[in-house]
Amino acid sequence: MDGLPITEIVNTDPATLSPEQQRTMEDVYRQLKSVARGQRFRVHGRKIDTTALVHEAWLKYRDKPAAFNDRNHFFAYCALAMRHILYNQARRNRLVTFVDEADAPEQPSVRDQSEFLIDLERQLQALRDYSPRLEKVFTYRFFGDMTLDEVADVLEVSKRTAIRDWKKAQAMLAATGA
Amino acid sequence: MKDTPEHPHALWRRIDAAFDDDEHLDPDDCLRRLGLDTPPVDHSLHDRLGGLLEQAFADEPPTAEIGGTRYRVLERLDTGGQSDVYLAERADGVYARTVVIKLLAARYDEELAREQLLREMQLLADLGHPGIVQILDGGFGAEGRPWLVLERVDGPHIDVHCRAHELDTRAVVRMFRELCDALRFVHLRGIVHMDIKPANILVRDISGAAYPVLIDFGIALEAAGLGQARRGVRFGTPGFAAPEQLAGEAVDPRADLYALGMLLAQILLQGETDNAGLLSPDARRSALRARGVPGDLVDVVERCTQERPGGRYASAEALRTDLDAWLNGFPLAASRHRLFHVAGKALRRHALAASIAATALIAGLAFTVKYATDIRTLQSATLAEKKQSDSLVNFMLGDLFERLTDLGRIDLLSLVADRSLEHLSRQDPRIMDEEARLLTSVAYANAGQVLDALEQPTRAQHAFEQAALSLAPLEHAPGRERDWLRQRAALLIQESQSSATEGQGDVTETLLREAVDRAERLVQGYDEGHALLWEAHLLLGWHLMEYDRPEPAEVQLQAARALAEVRHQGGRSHDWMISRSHSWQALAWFAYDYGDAAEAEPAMRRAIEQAQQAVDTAGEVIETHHNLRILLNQLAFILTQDGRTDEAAAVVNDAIATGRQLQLMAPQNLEYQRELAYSLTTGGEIAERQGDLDTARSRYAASLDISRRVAAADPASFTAANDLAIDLVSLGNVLARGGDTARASALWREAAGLMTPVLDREPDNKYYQYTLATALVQLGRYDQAQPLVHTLREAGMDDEPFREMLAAHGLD
Repeated sequence: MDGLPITEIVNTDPATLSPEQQRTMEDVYRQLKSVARGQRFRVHGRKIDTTALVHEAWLKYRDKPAAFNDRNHFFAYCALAMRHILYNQARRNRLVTFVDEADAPEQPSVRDQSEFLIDLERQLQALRDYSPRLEKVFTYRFFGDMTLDEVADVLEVSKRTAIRDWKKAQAMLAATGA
Repeated sequence: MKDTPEHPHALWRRIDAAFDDDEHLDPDDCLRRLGLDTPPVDHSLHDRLGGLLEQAFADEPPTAEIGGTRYRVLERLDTGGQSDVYLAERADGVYARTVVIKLLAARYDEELAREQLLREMQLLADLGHPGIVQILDGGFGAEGRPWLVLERVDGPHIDVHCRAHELDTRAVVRMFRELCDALRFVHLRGIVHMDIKPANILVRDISGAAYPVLIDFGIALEAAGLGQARRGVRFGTPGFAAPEQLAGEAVDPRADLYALGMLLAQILLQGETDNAGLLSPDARRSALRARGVPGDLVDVVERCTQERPGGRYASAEALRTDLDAWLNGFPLAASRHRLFHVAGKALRRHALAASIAATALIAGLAFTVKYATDIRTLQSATLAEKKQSDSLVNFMLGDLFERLTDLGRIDLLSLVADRSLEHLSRQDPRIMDEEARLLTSVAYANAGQVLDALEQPTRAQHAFEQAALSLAPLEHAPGRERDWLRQRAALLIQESQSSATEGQGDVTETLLREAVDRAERLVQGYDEGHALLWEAHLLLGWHLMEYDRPEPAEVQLQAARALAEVRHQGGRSHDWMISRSHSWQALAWFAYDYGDAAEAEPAMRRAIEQAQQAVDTAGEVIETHHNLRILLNQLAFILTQDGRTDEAAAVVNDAIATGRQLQLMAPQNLEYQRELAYSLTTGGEIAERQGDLDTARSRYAASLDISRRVAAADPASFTAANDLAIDLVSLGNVLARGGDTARASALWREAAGLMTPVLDREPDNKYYQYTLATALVQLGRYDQAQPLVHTLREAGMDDEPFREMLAAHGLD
């Protein structure tokens, strides 16, 4: 990881990542997808459990001589990857919905979710301009299902600060429309 | 997104300040204070975005991954750490074919690794063997994931199959023998499967016959892709993977044998444990014993599953040999003492001629099957080619067999048989039509006959089994009954001769009875196959006589004779002349052994008369001369036993004359020479009895000449050594009677020197004891002879000449 702390490299904009970081991100992305494909996450009627997903991904990753030597940093990466995955999916859905509505029977709710996520992404970009830390706290907690202890650890802040930042971000994003 | 009246940053600053002021403020209250009714963004991703999440993590169709639309995915078969597996079909309508698409989990970004993997894929794709799943296509997906398109093997896992059909131990072992063949094929090409376990072997039903098929070379591929990097990386399934493989060390084919041994144990222990490989060796052994698994087979499992690769079988072929040996009731390699062939073996000289035969054969067989996109075209081409090469093989093994048998050069066919078996084992029974199956069956049966003649009974029996397997689907095929009956009867007869040499009495009888039955149907239904029916009757008659069951034996012999008489009167063909002769010969022996001994002579004379007719009609056909000479020898024997020495002497003279003629016709035929030596020895004995020592000496000397040649050609043969020693002793005796004690002693010494090591190897053989005892007594080495003499007396082997000799030495 070039010795940089995760807080320095975690960025929602892929263009600002170094090639190696970008690769790591793609790795995580793939790892999540591959774990999600595993049968245990596909039990009938059960929704995807992101916490289990991320933890499983970590178990698999740990054995590999890869970039992550720290579980919480790995989770943070997962959160970001998850945000990318869902955003891309939401944008695809928007396209699909316009082209052929009948093709997707469960689309109404997924379409709403997609719209919500696209709106949320725009707000998160704005929030980053306002406070990069708030944006990260929200991303880790919301997309990565990280505990506030884990978030505090990654961002190297006190748990109190992490709790306050999380509440702030929740309120701010609700206030401006999400 | 709703437009908010103020810039978001202004609103956010107010919120920011509110939380800074009040540590315990929660988002709900904060929003309410600002007069907003929106709830705070929940932290649970599922509630907010569950549908989207499901969608994002839903599978991408594998066809997208393999970059094409040629296949339509039907269903997902399996998914997990190693790979995702889908059932798919060709989507472009070229032809209907269901395939399996497999996406490996590992990704290959580096060029070197990809090259290694591709090379390995190519190797696997080139493995055209019915026991190995066929790779149809392969490559790297968008994310560097390797993918494979495989033929679909539609059948249950091996453990399920064995359970569902309640296969007994022998049937399970037969199936493992097939697996050994497939593994050998793989190993010869430098590939180790590395993941043999119940889930990776499917049992395919091909026209009613079950074939195990090795699937999933995923680990082999990944290991190859990692190349040097594989060191330290662990692959495999606990319980089945060999210790060295689990330790991440380099593996060789013996790792597969370990897994195969565990698989055998697992299948034999089904219901008892889910993974026999996780038991301790002791627990596994006692569980197998408790299940009633024979000790020898438990030994085989143990030999496979040794911790150290060096303790295991060296190859899949070695394991297969032991499974064969077990099936046939022979000692296994683990506890095997060297097996010596008792009768003469094939000549290994004249390598040039042998290699000429082999070259001709290879030219006929040299084609390899490679599946490409259009499998059908290839299949029909292959099939045509196969029929051609099978015809060649059948010519060489069938027609040539007959001729080379006459010439005494069956050894030439050894290579042909080897090559043709290898050729046959590579063929895919699925693509064969009925004609091809028939040819295959004939080819296997011919190879079996050659192997039997070359005294390789285990391999012969396996060939016969394959012949039966290939033939089986024709039984109920419309319009094929005739072909089926004909080949079935022929096969049963050939097979019975192999099992008879192996001393398997019950098996032989069962085979011959079925042969009679099939041949009868052929005769009644199609008015053909009389010769097969006659042969089956006659062989069964001989067989029953050998097992001392005179009544049923006579029924068979009379049936054979009657059939031969009828056919001979109808067709006058030369073959039926010989058949009549053979029938009478058998009846003569029947009379000699069970009936009125006085009837033996006239019956034998009838046989000789008909054999002479056959010689007169056929001219220079070697076999008829040979046949006649054997009959003369046998008549001479019967007459000698009856004390009719003078008549016997005349017959023996005829036999010797015929024998010398034969020697000129087929100088290489050792069997003919042996038979001539027998005539000469008998003639010598008769002359000796008549007091004609000169004739006796020259006949023994002539016989000794032949025996020396025969023994030199086959130094490993104890029979040849014994024949030679008998001639040495006999000639020595005559010389001694004539006063030439010095030369006599030299001959006796040679005989004793010859037989001493033979007795060391086979101490219980009474004939060898007799020969050695005679030589030792004549040499005056009474102390050495004493224990042998004692044993021979106990066994009643001390015949008249022997007792006379002892008396002459004052030993009675």
